[in-house]
Amino acid sequence: MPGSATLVRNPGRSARRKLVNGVFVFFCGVATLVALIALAAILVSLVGQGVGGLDANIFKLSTPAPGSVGGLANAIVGSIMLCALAMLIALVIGILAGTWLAEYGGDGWYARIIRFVNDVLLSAPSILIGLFVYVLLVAPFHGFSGYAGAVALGIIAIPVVTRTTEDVLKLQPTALRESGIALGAPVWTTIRKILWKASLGGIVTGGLLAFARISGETAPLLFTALNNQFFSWDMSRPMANLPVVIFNFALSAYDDSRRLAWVGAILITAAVLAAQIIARILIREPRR
Amino acid sequence: MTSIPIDSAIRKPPKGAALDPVFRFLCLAAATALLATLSGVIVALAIGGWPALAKFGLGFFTSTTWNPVTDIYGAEGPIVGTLVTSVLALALALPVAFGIAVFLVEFAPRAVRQPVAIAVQLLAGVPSIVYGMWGLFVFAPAFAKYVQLPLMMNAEPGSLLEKLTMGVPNGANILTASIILAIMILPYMAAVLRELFLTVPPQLRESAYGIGATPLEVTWQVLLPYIRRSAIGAVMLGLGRALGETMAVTFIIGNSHNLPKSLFDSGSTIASTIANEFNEASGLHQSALIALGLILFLITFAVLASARLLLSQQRAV
Amino acid sequence: MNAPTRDPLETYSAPLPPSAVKLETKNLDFFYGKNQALMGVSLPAIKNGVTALIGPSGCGKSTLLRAMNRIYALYPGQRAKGEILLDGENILDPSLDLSLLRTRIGMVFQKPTPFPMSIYDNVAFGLKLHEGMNAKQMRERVEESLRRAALWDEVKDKLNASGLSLSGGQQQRLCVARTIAVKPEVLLLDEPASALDPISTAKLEETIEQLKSDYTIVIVTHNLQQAARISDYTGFMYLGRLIEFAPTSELFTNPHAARTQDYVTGRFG
Repeated sequence: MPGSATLVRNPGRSARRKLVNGVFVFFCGVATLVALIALAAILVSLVGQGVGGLDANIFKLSTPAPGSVGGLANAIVGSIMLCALAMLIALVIGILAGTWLAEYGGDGWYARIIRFVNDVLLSAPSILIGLFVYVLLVAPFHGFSGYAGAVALGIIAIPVVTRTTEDVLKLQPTALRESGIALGAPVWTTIRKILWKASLGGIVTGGLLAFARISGETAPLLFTALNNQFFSWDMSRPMANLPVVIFNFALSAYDDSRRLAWVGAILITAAVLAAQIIARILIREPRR
Repeated sequence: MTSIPIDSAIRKPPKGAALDPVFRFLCLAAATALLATLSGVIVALAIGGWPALAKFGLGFFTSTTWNPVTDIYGAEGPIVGTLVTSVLALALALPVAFGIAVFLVEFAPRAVRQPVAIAVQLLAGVPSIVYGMWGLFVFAPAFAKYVQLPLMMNAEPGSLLEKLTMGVPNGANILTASIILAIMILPYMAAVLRELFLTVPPQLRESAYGIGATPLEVTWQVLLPYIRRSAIGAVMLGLGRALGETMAVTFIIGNSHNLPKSLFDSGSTIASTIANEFNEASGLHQSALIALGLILFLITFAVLASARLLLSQQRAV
Repeated sequence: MNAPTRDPLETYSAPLPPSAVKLETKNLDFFYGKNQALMGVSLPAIKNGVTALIGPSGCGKSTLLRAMNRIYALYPGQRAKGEILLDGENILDPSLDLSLLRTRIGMVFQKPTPFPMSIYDNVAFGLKLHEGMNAKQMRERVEESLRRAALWDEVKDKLNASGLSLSGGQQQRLCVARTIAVKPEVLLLDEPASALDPISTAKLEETIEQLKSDYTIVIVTHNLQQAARISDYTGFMYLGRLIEFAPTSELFTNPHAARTQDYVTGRFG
């Protein structure tokens, strides 16, 4: 190119920089590829190992004794019940706590402490939550129970709900809140009928994310709900659940049991991914 | 337009006005429940772990003896295992997460950006026990076959390589556990780093490019320093997660209480130890496990608190 | 061409017969924490007329407006000293029931804030809170309010549609309808048209013109032409003080205070 020699001051150095940059771009691409390959590998294994075992029996029969044929019905029902109760606890406490932080606590010293506590609980190792609930609800009552499991999962879910509720309430314009007050509405009516309604999408998203989080959790259930080989609706006794079944069956010597573990893994992964996808769709949908 | 007469009717206070303080109290109670829970966790761990800590004192931290039969416990193995796997996982995941974040922000063609970002987030959604299973049944055997065995076979007796690769070639060791852990925390860190890069004001990026800097130079010399504090905070959050991760690690770490002699040797983490042994434990054994839990909590707490300090100084998150 | 130098601290307030004043502040001070935002403001608001508040950014006009329905009470650290008299009663009295006060003094904000519910529910919101009306009475009141806000014809077929589905100008008129539904005596408007396009602004100003025969309206605006168009009296504020209060035409064409003159001729602000 005519004149290009004068445009580039130091061609040698420029070429070197370009080369280094090229290496960098390559590295970034490779890094992304690594992640994608890992994802693909995991999903392929999951589907490959487990899909063969997906049949009606999964939903009809309960977990088998070692070596015999069975399904995951009790574990599926158990997991649903545990998660449902946990989400109930988490939504009630989480929404109220998030509301307090956004509407009443403001920037005061106590609010700052609560936010910090919330962050710690958010990232705390879930196995320690399991230990805590064991000490609180299992040891004194001499028995594992579905309730203990639900409480443990609930404690893990609450910080997620609290955080998203607070964030989404804070996004509402102050004028919206003042409009309610200016009409003479009591503060809590304004919060309930106007602010919560306006933030509904965000709060639901928070709930879905919390659900996605707890439906995959195993460690806290190990010492609280434990597991139950049989089908049971009774939450005051040990409760069957998918994660612990997987944990127990994965190391089994029997092919059938191991296959059931993979099937369970598919079910949990599907539930988590579905919740995340729905949450994502909700975020993108324009407010009506 | 007819003029509407203004009502001077006496109005009642609105329904529900009296319940305002009740609602406020309920919200405050919920917020306090969080504080109560955290305090409860600390107290429960401290009380439960006290017998073991009192009995073994500082020796608890320096002894690797873990014998339920003689009731003698030393936590050095799991503690070292926890720290080593977490730091190693972080070291492995950080550059990759960084690369992914930069790729998504700077290089990815528009069409590819969204799908890749979604794929990364899906990776984050995979439950940890699935990672554990995949690690145990797929990754570990593959690692043993294609990496461990060849390296061990080719290491000459007495060489450094032999020392580094000592261990049972079944793929269940510190290194594989760290790799699985790295893959686990990878998507989270990539997502956070990407979000941080997006907080850089466009004018700053444009000025840097405007001077003729290459993407590498812009990223390394302009963007990264801008987000440095928050990035470190995010990294520490990733570390916090790695420290507490149980299921991904338990299947694949080999579960030995000794200090691992090499990367290919088996070890244990605090979380994996608790997960494996708690339900069969009683008495002092149980107390020792709870004491382990307390130690893990304190380590994680310190990491999280520092992370928060760093994060709050740059942006509100 | 120099006008004769006048005292820059000079203030002026047009005298008014007491019967013409619905709401007035007397020596009102207002504080945000330690900062004093209003100093000794005594502003009357004309009954069945429009009083405009103008002044450069930060002069305190919004602060003054927001003191009138005590909306500042939501925020600890903000407080008022002095008197605000509504028909002679001091509404700064701490024993006053605030929610009842707000049924007598309504407020429309700068940004339209439709509640996340249907158009009908938006307008009926205040009614459900306060008055024991049956469904028929409520429906009548909702229609009446929407008519007065010049919105009825545009929404009468879609009362169940979400309030958020309306355009910006329509949303603001919805907020007006919602506010007048509880039949307040005073309407406080805080730059109600600043977020609207010119056509919606014109419609809103028309609405205000039609409402003023029954309401006492106080409007804060940074748009001098708007103040000149729709208000009967205007108050000019500067740095927390009321510099001049006079009939609108007088304030704009022949202001008494030097500073007022500077502002309305565009010398500053």
